[in-house]
Amino acid sequence: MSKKYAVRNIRLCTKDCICLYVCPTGATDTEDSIIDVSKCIGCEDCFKACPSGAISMVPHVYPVQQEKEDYVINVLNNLMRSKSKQENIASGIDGRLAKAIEKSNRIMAEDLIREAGFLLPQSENTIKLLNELLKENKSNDYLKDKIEELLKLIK
Amino acid sequence: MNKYICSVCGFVYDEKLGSPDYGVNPNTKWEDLPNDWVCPWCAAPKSDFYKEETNKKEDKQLEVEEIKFEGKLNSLELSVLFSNLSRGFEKSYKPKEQKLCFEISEYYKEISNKIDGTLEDLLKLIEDDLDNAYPNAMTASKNDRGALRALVWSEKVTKILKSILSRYDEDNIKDNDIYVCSICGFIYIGNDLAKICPVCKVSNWKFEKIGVR
Repeated sequence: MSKKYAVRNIRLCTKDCICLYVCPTGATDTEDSIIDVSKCIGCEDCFKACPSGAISMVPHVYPVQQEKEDYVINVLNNLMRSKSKQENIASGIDGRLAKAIEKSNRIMAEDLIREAGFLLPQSENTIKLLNELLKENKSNDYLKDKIEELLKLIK
Repeated sequence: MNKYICSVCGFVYDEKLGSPDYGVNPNTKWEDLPNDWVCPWCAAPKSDFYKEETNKKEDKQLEVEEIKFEGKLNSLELSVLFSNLSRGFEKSYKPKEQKLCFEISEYYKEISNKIDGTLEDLLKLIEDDLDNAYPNAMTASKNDRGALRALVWSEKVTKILKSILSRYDEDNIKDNDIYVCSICGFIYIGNDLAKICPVCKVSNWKFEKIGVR
């Protein structure tokens, strides 16, 4: 298996040109515009030819996530907690302004927790957390099914 | 020999060097400067100066290293974590994983305990973030560029939230559009959106217009 495979950003793709001609395996020619991973051999021909910058090469296996100091994780998580609380309060207030504040806080909280060890969604940290949540939610069928499915896909 | 720093403009008085340009000889102790001596740059009095503590910053670093994150993630925090993972999977072109994380995020949001509060309550939390949480977090993260990047962005957005909450209510913005930057959370209120986000510099097509709830 090649180390990398091609993916297409559908927003940038004009869906009518050169990757279809250069792909040696026909992986780029699909009805849903998603490049067929099982056919892609990672040759980069489409990536180099695309005039719209719509194709990226991504690795099958991502590198290990950068280590974070525990105290950095703690201060980031504390701020994330504050933003999450503010999102919660804003969600109960009427009006566009409160809605904007709710959204803004969600985005900040996401960014902070991302830097607190969850930058790569397929990281060890995520897998560890998913296994913990699975243990805690054995009797919650909805969550259990979703988490098991996610774990299967990540591994 | 010590150094004294002007808290207004940052001028440094170094006892060893004195301030020859302004008539103070080298090796003049701080105590020996006349009481009516003022900062040569900004004219602040001696009382506005503080002594430079060579190891002060390290002490502070040690203190902030002791800050703990109490307990586990609550439901809404787990929702944040999973909506972040969903975005991450979207970026790495994993639509199935993206959808699963989104569904888990929505589930946790649904079951989270709602907190009642007003815009004034929000302002108090924002002020506490700006006065305490950010300075501590910045000190703790001084060697972590990724963390600093997130802190710099969200501190700027938090300052903007503070300014918005101090100026506006729903009535006086009724003729304005409201946008939120989907990358950093910056809020724009007005009818003349800039081409790029002033905080994270992303192109403005990443802004989301807020409709009525």
